[in-house]
Amino acid sequence: MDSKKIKQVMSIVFDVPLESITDDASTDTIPNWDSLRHLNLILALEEELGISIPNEEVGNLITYKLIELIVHECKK
Amino acid sequence: MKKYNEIFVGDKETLSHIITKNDIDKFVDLTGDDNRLHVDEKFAEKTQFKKPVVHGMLGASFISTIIGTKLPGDGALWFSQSLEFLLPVRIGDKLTIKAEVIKKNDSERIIELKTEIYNQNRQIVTKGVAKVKVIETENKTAVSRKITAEVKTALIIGATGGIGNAVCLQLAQDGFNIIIHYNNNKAMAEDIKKKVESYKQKAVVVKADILQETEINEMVTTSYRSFKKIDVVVNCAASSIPNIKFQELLWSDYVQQLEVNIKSTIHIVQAVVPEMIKNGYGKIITIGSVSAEKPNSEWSHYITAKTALIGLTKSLAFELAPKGIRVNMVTPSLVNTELTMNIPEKVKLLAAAQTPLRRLALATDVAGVISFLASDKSDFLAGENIRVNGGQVMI
Repeated sequence: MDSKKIKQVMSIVFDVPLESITDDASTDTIPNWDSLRHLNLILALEEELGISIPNEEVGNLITYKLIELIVHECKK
Repeated sequence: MKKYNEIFVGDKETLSHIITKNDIDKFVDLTGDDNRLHVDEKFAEKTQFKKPVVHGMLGASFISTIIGTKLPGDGALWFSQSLEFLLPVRIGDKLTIKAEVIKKNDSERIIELKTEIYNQNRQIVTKGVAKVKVIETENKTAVSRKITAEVKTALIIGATGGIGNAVCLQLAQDGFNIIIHYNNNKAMAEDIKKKVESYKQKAVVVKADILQETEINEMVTTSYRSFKKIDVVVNCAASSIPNIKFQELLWSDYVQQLEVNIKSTIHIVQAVVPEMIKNGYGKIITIGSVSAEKPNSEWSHYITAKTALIGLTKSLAFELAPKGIRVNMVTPSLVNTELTMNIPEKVKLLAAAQTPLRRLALATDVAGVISFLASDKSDFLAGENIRVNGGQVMI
């Protein structure tokens, strides 16, 4: 469930088609992933998923797999 | 070509040459010296010489020939020459060029030669003294080739680990016989032996607790029963790396890492070095860690030991290199092996994402570099640390 939501958030924030957010999506594969959109991503994930992402993790959310893993940790 | 030690005071060589008009023409073409005394019969007739005189340096150039081709020959570096032109030389004269060693300077490997040129009437036309440095070509390449032709033997410590296993197979493919060391996993060691043998290489399995010096010595003795020599040693042994906050670390945690990385390496090297010194050749390869240069939390015990290993590797390299033993290090970043299986997935994902080549290291990546260090292609490396980290640390 989270996977789908995360991908939807990423698709909206980065303004790319949902199908382009694959499991291997990362800063390398999404050209729109700049620093401003990265901060928007954090805020959108927190709002959509009802979580609080710790400051020390903000810089680590650089691939879809890492986002999924960190979101999962934040929900514990 | 004569070697310096084969040249003695009193050694002599001679050569002869008849001067022709063609020689004069070529000399003029080459040097541009068309002084009419040398080339114009009418002009010469008006001088005291009456006939053209051969260029003095044309005759003297045969001194170069005798030095460059006979005494000492190839590699001669002729750096000084005194000359006195005593009599004119004419076209048609038969010159005999003589060189005789009159002095040797052993420290500089220089010989002095009395050089004299005679005409057909046994008159000295030119005389002088030459100084020549005797340059000898390196023959170390030939020695390396000879070693290459033999089948070498590699002792892989910790062969049943992820990196050790890959190193065994890579070196077997490279043509090494393999001594497969294990401590606990005999079945895996036997499996590696079969794979090594499938590459048509010989393999033996040896067991030893490398924290016990006596067992290391027994392992090396056993190895010498199977193979006459050990050319390469790779220490891939490692212990688990628990994440422990610094304030909770015990001295025993440090000791455990120091024993595996430092104590074992010291004893292994001490066990194999005497024979390597006798052979005048050996390669010792240690495995470092990227964490020594790019530290992370809760690994102080491991990082301390790996950093000490850098110092040990360099100090051994410095001391043993003059004896022909090359000690070098390979430093991988996080390798996906059994040793690192307890590292959290997030750490691995982050490491891969932050690596310019965007993945973790593979055991085969490390084995590939070890293959190079074990080969004679790296014979001029000593105390080197080759990083296999996908670009994580660039120095």
